Amino acid sequence: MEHLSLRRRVYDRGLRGLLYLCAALTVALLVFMIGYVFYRGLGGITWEFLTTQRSLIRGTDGILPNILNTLYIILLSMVIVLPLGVGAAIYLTEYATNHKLVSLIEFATETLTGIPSIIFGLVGMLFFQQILGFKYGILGGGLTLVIMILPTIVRTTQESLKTVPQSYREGALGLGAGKWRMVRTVVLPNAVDGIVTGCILAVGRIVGESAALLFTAGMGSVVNNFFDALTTSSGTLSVALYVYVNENGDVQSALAVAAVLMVITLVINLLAALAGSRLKNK
Amino acid sequence: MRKTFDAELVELSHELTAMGTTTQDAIDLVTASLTQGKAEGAKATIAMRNTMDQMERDIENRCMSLLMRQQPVARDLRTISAAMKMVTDLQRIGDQAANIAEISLLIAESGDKPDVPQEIVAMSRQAGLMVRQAIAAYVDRDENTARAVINLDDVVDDLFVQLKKILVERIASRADHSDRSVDLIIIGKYLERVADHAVNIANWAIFCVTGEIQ
Amino acid sequence: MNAILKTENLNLWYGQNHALKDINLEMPQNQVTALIGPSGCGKSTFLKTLDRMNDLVPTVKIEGKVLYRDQNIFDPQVDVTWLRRHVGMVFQKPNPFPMSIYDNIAYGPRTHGIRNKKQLDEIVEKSLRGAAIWDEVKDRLKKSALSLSGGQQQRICIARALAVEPDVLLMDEATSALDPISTSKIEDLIAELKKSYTIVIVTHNMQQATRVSDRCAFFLHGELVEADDTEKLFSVPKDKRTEDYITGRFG
Repeated sequence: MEHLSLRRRVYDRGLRGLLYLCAALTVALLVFMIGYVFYRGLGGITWEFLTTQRSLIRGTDGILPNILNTLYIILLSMVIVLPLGVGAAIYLTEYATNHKLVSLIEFATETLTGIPSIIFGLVGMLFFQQILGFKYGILGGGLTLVIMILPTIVRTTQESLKTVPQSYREGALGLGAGKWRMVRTVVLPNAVDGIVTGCILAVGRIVGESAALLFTAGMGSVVNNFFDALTTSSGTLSVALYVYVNENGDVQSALAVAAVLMVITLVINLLAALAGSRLKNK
Repeated sequence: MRKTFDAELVELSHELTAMGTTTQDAIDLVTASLTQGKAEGAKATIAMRNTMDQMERDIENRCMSLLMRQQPVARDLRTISAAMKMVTDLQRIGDQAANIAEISLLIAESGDKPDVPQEIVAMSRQAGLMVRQAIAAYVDRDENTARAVINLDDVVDDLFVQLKKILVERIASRADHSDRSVDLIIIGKYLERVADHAVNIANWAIFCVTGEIQ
Repeated sequence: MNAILKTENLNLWYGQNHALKDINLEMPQNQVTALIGPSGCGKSTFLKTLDRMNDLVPTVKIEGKVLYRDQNIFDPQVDVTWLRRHVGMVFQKPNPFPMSIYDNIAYGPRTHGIRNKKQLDEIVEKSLRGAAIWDEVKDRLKKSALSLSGGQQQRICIARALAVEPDVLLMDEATSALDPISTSKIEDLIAELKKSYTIVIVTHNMQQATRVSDRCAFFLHGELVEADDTEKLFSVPKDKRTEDYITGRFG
């Protein structure tokens, strides 16, 4: 008895230590990553770097166009993908009655989320530029990203719709609510958290994407307004980062871009979380 | 399913049967003591009353506890509520036997050897049989037996009418014995009451089977 | 006996499974009808059919009639919304929406187009009083309904159902998730409610059926074995299967 409980205690302690180590290592890696990028990158960030564009004539080297392009492409993709994806997910979980078709679509979306982004870039280029005749620009790039992140949005929304208890739906229907009223008043408010998570994931993918955009949005780094940017070659921050390293060998600037990227991602995530809790309370 | 409960219901039947047998014994015993003019039998019958009171309490307690713990419905509810009613009738029969025993004791102690009419012996035998059969009808859930018991009541009533006639004649012919004859009429009346209680028991047995109260 | 709700030769299939077989049952006005039977006997299915909640299940097939005030609820011109406004449902597990107590109660009336604040206030108070919970919550109507205890939540759900002023109230094992005190509160409430509503309950609790119901129907394997006055059914059941079930000697 005594012996056994001792062994058990040792075993327990050992396992606990191991798990602690895993957690500690993960945190350490993250801290290192962020720390390293900021440590090396922040030095390269100057007011000029953030507010000018690259110009040989003026002798400036800045990433303002890339920051703007990144925001443009986030705006465009999300405005299209959010209603589309959430709508599709609502249809699939709340309305569709053909279960075989639904599981087929679910399987397809699942598969699409796992496809390398370069393939989306390739298809986007062929389809939007060669078939539809789009130019390089935010429009082509944004639409390509829409296709790429649509499965993510659909899946996460579907998952969060499914976590809304069936009893809420029954309760609403039992009171004589129609289907849409049930979805709008009872289901969606309780799925907001999951949808926001999906958006954060999607924004993360947009911000981090370079491969799919090289062929579709281009690498241009000139300040444009939103509407001009739609059809003008426009590189996002990730693309700029790629260009800095690959073509100019300028690691210092690349790290500065990385730091800016991280800050933007953080701010957008915080805004999304805030918006989510506002929506939920309403 | 419900093994414990079923076992308790069987136990209840056993207790009722035992009490029925005891009452029948008491009637037999007191009749014998009456015909033989012996005091012992009468005293023993009076003593049996305590046993029967105890039996009655035991059965009532068991029924109460079953009602509380098992919350019976349908057949089970009828079985238990019938038992609670029947046990009262059985206890009354015991009272009647004791009443007869008291008279019989007085007779025995007076030293007389009374001439007990055959009708009294027959009534006592019939009434005892009715009690036992009524209990058996309840235990076996046998409606026919119960109805037979109810019919037997007429036989006992007839015997009582005859007994009364005989004793009235006796009083008329031998005035010095009228005291004893009145005692015997009272005993006859007690026996007739015993049969009535047996009829009640038979009615509860029928209720137990059909759910109908007569 | 005035049956406000009755079924005629009602049959229901889930795919191949014949879940309700030729059910003919009358549910009299202002009485409590209890549906009893072992799990899977069809009593809950039957209850849901009365409110057409089975419409949610895709493989379901229904034949026969359910008549609410002599109107067959499966007629194509019958609007489910209309039906559910008159036949309300309270579920097994308390399922208040994650919103304020007030909004929970007002949900039904708002669904049916009532927007006037004063009118809504009146309905909310009346419904909460009707469900015997007004005194417990009147000072915190704006608090989330989920902050209440299970028993209170269930009474909120009853109040929510009352708010659309139904005729019939269906309750699917409405107390099975509650403690004895909450249960007896709801049983008392049922006795009170039957003065103004017709009530049909599903229960696994025999004692509850005997305590609250006027009529009782015993289901087994999708069949209606026996329906009678509760007192009769529980003292002298006609069918051997009913007797075996209610005395606990089933199977």
